[in-house]
Amino acid sequence: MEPTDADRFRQAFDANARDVLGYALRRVEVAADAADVVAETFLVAWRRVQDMPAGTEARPWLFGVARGVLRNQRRGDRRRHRLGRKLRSRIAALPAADPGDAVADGEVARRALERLAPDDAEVLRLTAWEGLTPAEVAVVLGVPAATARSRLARARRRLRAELEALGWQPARPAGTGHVRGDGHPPVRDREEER
Amino acid sequence: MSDRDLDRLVAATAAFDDDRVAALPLADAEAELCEEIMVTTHEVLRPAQLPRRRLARRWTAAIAAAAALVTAVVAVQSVASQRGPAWAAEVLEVAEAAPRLLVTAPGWDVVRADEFTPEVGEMTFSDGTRELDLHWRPADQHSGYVDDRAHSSGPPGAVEIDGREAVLFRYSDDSFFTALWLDGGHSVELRGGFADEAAYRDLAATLQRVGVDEWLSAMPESVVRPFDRAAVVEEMLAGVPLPAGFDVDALRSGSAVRDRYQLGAQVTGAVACAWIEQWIAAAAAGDGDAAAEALAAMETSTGWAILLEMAEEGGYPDVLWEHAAAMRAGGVAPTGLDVANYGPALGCAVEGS
Repeated sequence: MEPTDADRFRQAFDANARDVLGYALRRVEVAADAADVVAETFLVAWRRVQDMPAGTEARPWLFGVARGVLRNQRRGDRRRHRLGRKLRSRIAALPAADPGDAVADGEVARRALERLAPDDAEVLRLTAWEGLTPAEVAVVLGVPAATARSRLARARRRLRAELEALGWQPARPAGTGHVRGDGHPPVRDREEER
Repeated sequence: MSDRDLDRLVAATAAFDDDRVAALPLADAEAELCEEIMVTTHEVLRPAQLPRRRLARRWTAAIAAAAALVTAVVAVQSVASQRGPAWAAEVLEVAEAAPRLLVTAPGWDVVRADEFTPEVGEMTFSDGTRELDLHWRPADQHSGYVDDRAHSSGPPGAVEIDGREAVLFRYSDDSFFTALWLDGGHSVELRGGFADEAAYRDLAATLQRVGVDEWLSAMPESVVRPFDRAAVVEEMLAGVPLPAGFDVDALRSGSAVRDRYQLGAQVTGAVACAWIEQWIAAAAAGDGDAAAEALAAMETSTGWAILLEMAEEGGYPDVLWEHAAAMRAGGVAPTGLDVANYGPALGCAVEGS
């Protein structure tokens, strides 16, 4: 039997809600605002469930929707709605992230990223934070895969130049670039670039 | 440095890594959100299968349903008379002070209006398939918004809207446009996604200043419904124990921009926060009586009528009740919620913050 729209939505929600929350948490200034991004993203997904790709392809598609939602909500433009209110309250009640957890390398990299064009920085973040392949980055940004691939190469080149300009030297052998500096793998193990 | 090393370095700039996000105790709140979304509209859009006119109707219905459910709408009073509508004083105050602009292109209507005050407001226009958002804010915020939009988009252009010169931005790699201009005491912004710049400009050119009656008459039904804040606050507080010195007047005379759910959250949140403040202060001072009084008051919250009503619509009551459970448990609820974080969780201002 063909899955219903409700089945497809629920499956995509269960598989991706936490990833979309992570995507939003890493990009909002106030953590609780991430709940609104999740709520609005999945509201759009529910309305457009016929457009939503199935399986793992839903993930970059949802990030693309979240990207649009986030852009609309910048600087307090957030639509204050009651969807996800419990999620919002729960996130607001979480202990704040401890900046002491951040490793020194991360601080230099953050400064270098800020010196890049916003699109270049976002391609790098989607790759490193969300673990997306260039083909998936292309879905998020709505550009051809070849464009995403060349943009990633250009962004890496520019980041290297900015790091050099900031006088960056590896503090320890590369490979500990996790926020806790505890030897965990990067944000997400990702497939080899396609 | 290899690409992989570079990615690890970028990964180190994330405030939240996936392990941490995955470990957040939010499963029940997410499940509730999923259910909330799935009841918003049973008519799922099928763009490829519907003729245009029917699609437009469905879209409008979906947007209107979502707007009615999710927006914090202004509370206004409209009394029909033989000579036309008469509007409540607070509505007239907004209408007289705000930039009263409407999209006059055929088929375009206001489908959402919230943040509806003389200083700050948002409304969404739609023709059933496309949307355009209009914002107004205090003029002193104008340059900050222009700088912010410039940061996220390509080089600015110029466009004339409502007879005024506006700065136009197109977001990179996208067909999303936004224009900002100054209109008296307001900074105004018009935002929307369009196939190309010409389509945005065509629609922006139809934005026209209208009179008070025409503007208010264009608002969705949900925006113009009767509401008497002071009376509703009184009703919501019936049977709710209040701490000594609690300022009910501040609640009665607050902004008119609340629907019943939002106002209920504001009223019960103010009471709960006052009791929690007393409980925390009493604990610090070793005042067992004051702490016991606050706990007893919060434990009655499971019977507050307005919270029982709100629980049908959203999760605010659960969060408030969880704070009572945290107090009963000495500060931290079995779910891990710490009562010390009550300010942001319940939406009340905390002294000194």
